[in-house]
Amino acid sequence: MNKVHRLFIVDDDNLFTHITSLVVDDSDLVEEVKVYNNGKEAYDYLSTHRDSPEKLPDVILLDLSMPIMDGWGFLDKFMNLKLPQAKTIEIYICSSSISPEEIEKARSMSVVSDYIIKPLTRDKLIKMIGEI
Amino acid sequence: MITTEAELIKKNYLLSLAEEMVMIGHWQWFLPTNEVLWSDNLYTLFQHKPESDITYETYFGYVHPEDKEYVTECVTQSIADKKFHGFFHRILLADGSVKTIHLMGKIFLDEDDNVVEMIGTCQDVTEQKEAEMKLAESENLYRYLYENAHAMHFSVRPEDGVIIKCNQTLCMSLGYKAPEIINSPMHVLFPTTKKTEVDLALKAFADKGEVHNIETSLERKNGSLVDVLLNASSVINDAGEILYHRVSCIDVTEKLNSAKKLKLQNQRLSDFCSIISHNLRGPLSNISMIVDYLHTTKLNDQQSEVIDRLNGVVEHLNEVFNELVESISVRYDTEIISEKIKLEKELQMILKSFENQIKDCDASITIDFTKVTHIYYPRKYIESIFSNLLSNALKYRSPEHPPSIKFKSEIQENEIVLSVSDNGLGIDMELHRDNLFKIRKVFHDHPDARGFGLFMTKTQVEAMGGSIWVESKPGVGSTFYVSFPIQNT
Repeated sequence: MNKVHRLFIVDDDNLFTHITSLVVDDSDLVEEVKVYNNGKEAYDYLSTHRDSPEKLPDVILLDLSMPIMDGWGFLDKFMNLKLPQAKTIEIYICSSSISPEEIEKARSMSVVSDYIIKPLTRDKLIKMIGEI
Repeated sequence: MITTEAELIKKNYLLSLAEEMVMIGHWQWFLPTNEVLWSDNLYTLFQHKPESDITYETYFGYVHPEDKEYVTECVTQSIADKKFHGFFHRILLADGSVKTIHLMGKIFLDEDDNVVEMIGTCQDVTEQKEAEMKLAESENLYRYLYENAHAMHFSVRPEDGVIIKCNQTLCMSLGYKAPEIINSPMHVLFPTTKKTEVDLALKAFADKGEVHNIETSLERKNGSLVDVLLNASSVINDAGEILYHRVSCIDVTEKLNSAKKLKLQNQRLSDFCSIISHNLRGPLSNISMIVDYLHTTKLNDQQSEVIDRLNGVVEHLNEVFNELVESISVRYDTEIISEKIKLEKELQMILKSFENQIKDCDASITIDFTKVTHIYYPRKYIESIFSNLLSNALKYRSPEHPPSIKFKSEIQENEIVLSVSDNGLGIDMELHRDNLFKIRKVFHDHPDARGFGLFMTKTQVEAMGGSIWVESKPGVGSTFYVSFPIQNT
């Protein structure tokens, strides 16, 4: 199974980020996990390090409903971000919303790999990393 | 002398011809002797064989029974006044036909001022009278329709914009009496606060000569506003001159209000949906992630059992939330697409997914979709109707015999009705009638009963304009009916 070097969790729910970090660490499939509490924090990091592929994440778990900059706002900004050609970042929406419109909208975006409805169980996480 | 006689004959002939053409006859009545003379055409009019010996009673005999009193009154009055008052009355002829005649005449007196003679004419005016009545009738009808129309109507003089006519609906809607409006400039009906809007409509009217369904407002006498759809056009005569402008307004206040209400309601549902989605499901998913995580840690048996139970609770709650959101989506998912569906094919697919359950309980399924083979409906809903009703029938089967389930489609009073009958446990209708289709109501002590299926089915059926009902007897079985609105295909 491939190992993921860097995984970012972008979510304002501290309990979620805490448990997800625990599960990810335990799975031993990811080398480094970073947590950002809203879209802006994550975007600022990406924007600052866009020319250093080694500092960029391979996977982002993105919540939709967040303060300051929500998931949609992040996706908007992200699409206009010029990243090095060789670097691909897989974005997985990870939200508790089960609204069909939101799911449809997210899945229709080219930068979104998939929409995962919370809870993000261990099984779902392992399956997701396996697909990368 | 011969010439004079010939002329007289000629004149008589002409008179007779003229009388015939206008269906008129003339008469003479010598009162002292009650001698009466009729012209030839009068005999024809009364369908009476010409004879010499006739009297006033000959004529009076033909007067319509219902008019006899009136005729006597008129004649008596004329004699008393020594002046003939013309009048109309009906006659009843030998062949049973009824005609209306117009009598006119002149009275002659002797030296002592006694009435000695009357002469006059008698014209058949049946056709004119009938035409007049029809005209009056249609005028009455038109007036009634105009005054009581659903729309407010008024007419405006083109030269100065003054209102020359209006209907009762306008007066009642705006709280005016007709005389207060008529002869006033039409601006009194429009709110000054919306002057630009009104001016715009007037300009459009001036440019095009007509306007349709302009959304604007009228002002009541008390200053409050009525939202209306306004239509206006000009009435033009044959010479192309504008006689007047005709304006009609339909009150749409209620329509607008209910549209607003509906919007608000949809908004609330959607808010509720998002509260469930984010504010309730979020924390819940955290709990289930904790439970999931705990499974991977070392636990003793007791802890393990508690965690398993917690897991069950969380899963159950999750399911409830998902179902709630789903049912709410149905209610404002108005654009869901209908398609032509073959009932048999659709049901077979559902049966396939229930294959194991059907086999396990040895259920027999009968299908009779011969009366109605296809329906036009959202596929998702048909699937949900079939699978909910089937799963209910299987779930609530009788322990005493294998289930026998019958699907049937038929037409009842212009509706398509789909029925699913079983020989299962049945439902005590006396007890449960009111709660049957409500959310999370369960009527059997069954471990799988969740009380959601029927609620969901009902929500979908009603969203499509149909209804669902049930007939049932405990220990005998239940029949669920679903009706679909009349379909064009």
